[in-house]
Amino acid sequence: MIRFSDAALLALTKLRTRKVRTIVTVITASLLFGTLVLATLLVGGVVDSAKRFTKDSLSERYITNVQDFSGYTLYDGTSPELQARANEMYIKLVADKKREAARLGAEYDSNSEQKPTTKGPDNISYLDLTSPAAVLAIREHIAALPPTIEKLKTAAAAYHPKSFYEMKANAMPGEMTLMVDGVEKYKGVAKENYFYSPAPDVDRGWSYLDASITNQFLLDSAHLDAQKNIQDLPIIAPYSKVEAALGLKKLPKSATSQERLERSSYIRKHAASATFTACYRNAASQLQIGEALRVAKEIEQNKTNKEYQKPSLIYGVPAATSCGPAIVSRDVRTADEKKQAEKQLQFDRLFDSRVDPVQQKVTFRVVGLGPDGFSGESFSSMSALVSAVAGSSLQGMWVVPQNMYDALPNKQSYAIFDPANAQFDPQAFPAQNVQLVEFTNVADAKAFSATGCTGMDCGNGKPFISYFGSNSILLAEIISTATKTIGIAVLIVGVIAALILMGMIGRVIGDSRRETAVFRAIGAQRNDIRMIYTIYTIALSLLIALVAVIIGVVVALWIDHKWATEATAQAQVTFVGVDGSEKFRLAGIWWSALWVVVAAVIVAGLVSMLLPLSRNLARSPIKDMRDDT
Amino acid sequence: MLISCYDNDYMSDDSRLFDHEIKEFIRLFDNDSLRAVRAVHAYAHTKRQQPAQKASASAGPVVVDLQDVKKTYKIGRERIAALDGVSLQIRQGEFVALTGTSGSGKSTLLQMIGGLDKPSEGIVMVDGFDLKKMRDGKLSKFRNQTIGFVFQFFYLQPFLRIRTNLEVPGMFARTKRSVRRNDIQRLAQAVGLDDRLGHLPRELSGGQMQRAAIARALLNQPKILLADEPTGNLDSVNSDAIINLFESIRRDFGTTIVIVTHDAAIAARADREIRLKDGVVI
Ligand SMILES: Nc1ncnc2c1ncn2[C@@H]1O[C@H](COP(=O)(O)OP(=O)(O)O)[C@@H](O)[C@H]1O
Ligand SMILES: [Mg+2]
Repeated sequence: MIRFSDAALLALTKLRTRKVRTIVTVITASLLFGTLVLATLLVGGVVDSAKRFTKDSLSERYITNVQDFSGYTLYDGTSPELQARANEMYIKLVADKKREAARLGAEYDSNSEQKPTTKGPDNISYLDLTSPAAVLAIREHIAALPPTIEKLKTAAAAYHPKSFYEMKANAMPGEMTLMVDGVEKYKGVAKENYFYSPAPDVDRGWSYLDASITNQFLLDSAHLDAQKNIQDLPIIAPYSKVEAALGLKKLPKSATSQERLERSSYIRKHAASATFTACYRNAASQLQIGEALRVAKEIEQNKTNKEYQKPSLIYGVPAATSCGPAIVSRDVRTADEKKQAEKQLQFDRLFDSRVDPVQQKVTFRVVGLGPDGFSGESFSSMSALVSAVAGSSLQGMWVVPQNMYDALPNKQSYAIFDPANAQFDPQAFPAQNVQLVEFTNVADAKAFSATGCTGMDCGNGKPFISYFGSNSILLAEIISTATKTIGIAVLIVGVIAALILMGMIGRVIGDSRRETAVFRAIGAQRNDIRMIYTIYTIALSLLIALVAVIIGVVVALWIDHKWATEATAQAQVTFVGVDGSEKFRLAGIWWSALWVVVAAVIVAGLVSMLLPLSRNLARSPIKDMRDDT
Repeated sequence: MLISCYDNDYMSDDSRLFDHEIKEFIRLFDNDSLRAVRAVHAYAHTKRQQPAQKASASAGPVVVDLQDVKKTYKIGRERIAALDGVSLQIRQGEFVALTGTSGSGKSTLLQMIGGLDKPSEGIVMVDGFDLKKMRDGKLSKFRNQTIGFVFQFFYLQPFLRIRTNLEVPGMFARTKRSVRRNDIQRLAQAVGLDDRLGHLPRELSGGQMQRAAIARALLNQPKILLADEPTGNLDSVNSDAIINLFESIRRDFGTTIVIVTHDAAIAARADREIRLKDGVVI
C-alpha cells in the first residue's frame, strides 16, 4: 500500500481543487459546528464559574430542601377525640375560672366562655378556633406529635443521608414593625406583600439556620471579629435591603455593569455597618397604642363639645423612636375602680399569658448578604441565568446563623422569637419550617428528591423536595441537560453537515474520476485510493473543526467580553460568600463536549465520503478515461 | 485543395505515394483534412528518408500472447463486439503499431494487454501472467510494475509539480523517496525536461507534457510501454520527437512498445503494424 506521507501529499492537493466550493462548504459546516462549539464553551464557562462561586461552600455538597406541607394539617378539626379533649378542657377551664374569680373577687361570666366546637353549614362539628379551650387542646395535641425531622429521617433513611438541618422560622406571638429611620409608625403602614416582593422586610420574619450552611453568606471575617461582642441579633440580609439601609438608592435599570459591580463591592464592604431596627408589640401592647390613638382622636373631635367627658384613664402614645409602652397620661379613676381593675388583671393573667403589654425594640445587625428573590422587575436574562446557576435558596430571606445566635451574651432577650418557644396561634400564618437533607452524592440526592411531590400533586402527604442552593445537584443537572441537548444537536448538525459535505466530497471525488482511473492504470490499489480520500476527508474535516473552534471561541470570547462584567455583578449580588475579586466567566472549555463535537465533524466527513467513494471505486477506470476523449 | 497539394509536392517525387495509400489517409482523416495533409507529408517524408529501413523484429521471447480474445460491451440490449477474436503475439523489445479506423477496437486491445480490463472470452498472457485469472490487487501491481501507460491527453495531475507527477507510480510501488528522486532526475534528462521538474503541467507545452507522461510511465522500468494515440494531440514536430523518444527507449531499455496511432508515418516507423478492423486483425 501507498505510504502515508505520499497519500497525504496526493490528498492535500485535492484541497486546492474546487477552491470556492471548498471555502463555502468549510464555512457553512464550520458555522453549524461552530454554534455547537460555542454552546460547549458557554456551558463550560457558566458551569465552571458557578462552581468557583460556590467553592468552599455548597459546590461539593448535595443538599435537598424539603417542605412538608403537613404543617398545615397538624391537627384535624373534625377529629372526635380532639373535640372530646377540647370539651374536657372547656369544662375544667370554666370551673377553674369560676373558682379563681370567686377567690379574687373578679368578674367572670361563664356564658361568655366560647364553646370549643361549632357546627358548620354541612352540619359537621368543627373545633372553634376562637375558643381558648380549643386552642389549648390543639397545642396539647401538637406538642405530643413527634418532631417533623424524625419523620424526615425515616423517609430519607434509604438514601444514605449525611446530615439534616432545619431552617426554623422565628416565633412571633405578636407583631413586628420595621422602624424606618428609627421611627415607629403606628398605623396605616401597609407592609410589603410578602409573596410578590423579591425581598420582604425583616418584620415579615426570619429563620435560624446551621452555620455549615450560613457560613458561605457571611461577610469578610475581619468585620465579624470586630463585632465579637455584638448584642444585636446577627442576620444575613437580602442584598437590596442592605443597599437601602446603607442609604443607597437602587441603581436604575440603565446602570452599566461596571457601576453594578462597583455598587456590589461597595455594599459588600460596608454591609457590616448596616442595621435594621424593628419594634415588637404583643396584642396587649398594640391594643393600648390603638386605644391611645383612638381616644386622642375622640378628644380632638370633641374639643368644642362641652358635654363631652374624657375617659377616666387615658393612655398616650410613647415617643415614636422608643418602641416603649403606652404612657398613662391621665388617671382619675376612683380607688375602687383601680382596685377592681387590678383584681380583673390578676384574674386574666392566670388564664392568658398575653394580658400584659410587651414591647421590645430589636436591632438586627448585618453579618452576611443573601441574594434578593426573583421579581419581574429584576428579571434580566443575564441575572436570571446567573441566579439560576449560582443562586441560593436563601433568596429574599432573612437568616440568623444559629451559631452566632447561640453565642450571643444576651441570647435570652430574644427568647420571644426563639423557634423553640413557638406556639400554635390561630390568628397567625403557620410558621413553616424547611428541612434540609444532605447526601454524599448526586445519585442519592436525586433519588430522594424523586420521592417528593412536584407541585401538582403536593398536598397529599408527599413533601415538596427541591435542590437547595447553588450546589452540585443543580450543576450536575445543568451538565446532564446540556450533554443531552448538545448530544441531540450534534446528531442533527452532524446529519446536516454530512449532507453538505457529501455534496462537496462527492463532487471532488466525481471530479477526480479520471484521476482515479489514471492512478489505477499506473498501479494504484483500491486501498490506495481509499486512503487518499480518507486523508483528504479527515483533512477537510479537521479544517472545518478548526474553523468551527475558531468561530466558537471568537464568539464565546465576544459574549464573555460583553456580558462577563454584568454576570459578575449579578453573581456577586446573588452569591455573596465568595471573594470579591472572583469573576464570573461565561466562556470556558468543556473538553469532553468539545472532543465530541470535533469527533462529530470527522465522523460526518467520513460518513459523507463513503457513498461517493464506493461508487467511484466500483467504476471501470477505462470508461472514466475515455469519457472526455 | 488536398489533391492539388499532393499533386504539386509529391507526385513528381521518387518515392511517390500510391493512390491507395493516399485514399487510405483521406479515409482515416475524413473528419480532419488538415491532419490528413500533415500525415501524408510526414509519411512521404519518412518514405523518402528511410526507405524500408526497419529494425528487424528481435528474436526475444513472446511477452504478449493473445488467443482468440473477444470483448463485448453491452449498451442497453445491444451487444457490441469491440474485439471479435483477436490472436496475436508480441515479442520482447518489439515496437508495434496498432492501427485501424476509429472504433475498430485498438484502445480495447491495448487495455486488455495492460490489464485494465478483462476479455469476455479468450486468453491474455502478458509476461507469463494469465491476466484473466488475476485478482484486482495483483492486477494493480502488474500494471504498476510491468506496464507503462501513455495516454493521448497525457493525464498529468494538474496540481502536482512535474517532479511529483513523475513520482506517482513510485508512490504506489512504495519505492523509497530517495530512489524515486534519483530515477526521476535521470528520466527527466532522458526526455529533456530536467529543467522543468519544478513546474506545474500547465506551464508546459503539449509535447513537454507528453514527454513528462512518458517519463512517468518509465519510472518503474516496465517491460511493456502501451501508448494510446500518444501523438494524437501534438503537432508533427512534437510527434516526431515523441516517436524518436520511443525509439531510443526501446534501444536503451529494451522495452516492448505498443503504440496506437492513426498516423501512417508513425506506423511506418514501427517494426510491425497490426491493423484492426471491426475488432479483428486484418
Ligand atoms: N466501455 C465501453 N462500453 C461500451 N462500448 C465500448 C466501451 N469501450 C469501447 N466500446 C466500443 O467498442 C468499440 C471499440 O472501441 P475502441 O477500442 O475504443 O476503439 P478505438 O480505440 O479503435 O477507436 C467501439 O464501438 C466502442 O464504441
Ligand atoms: Mg481509441
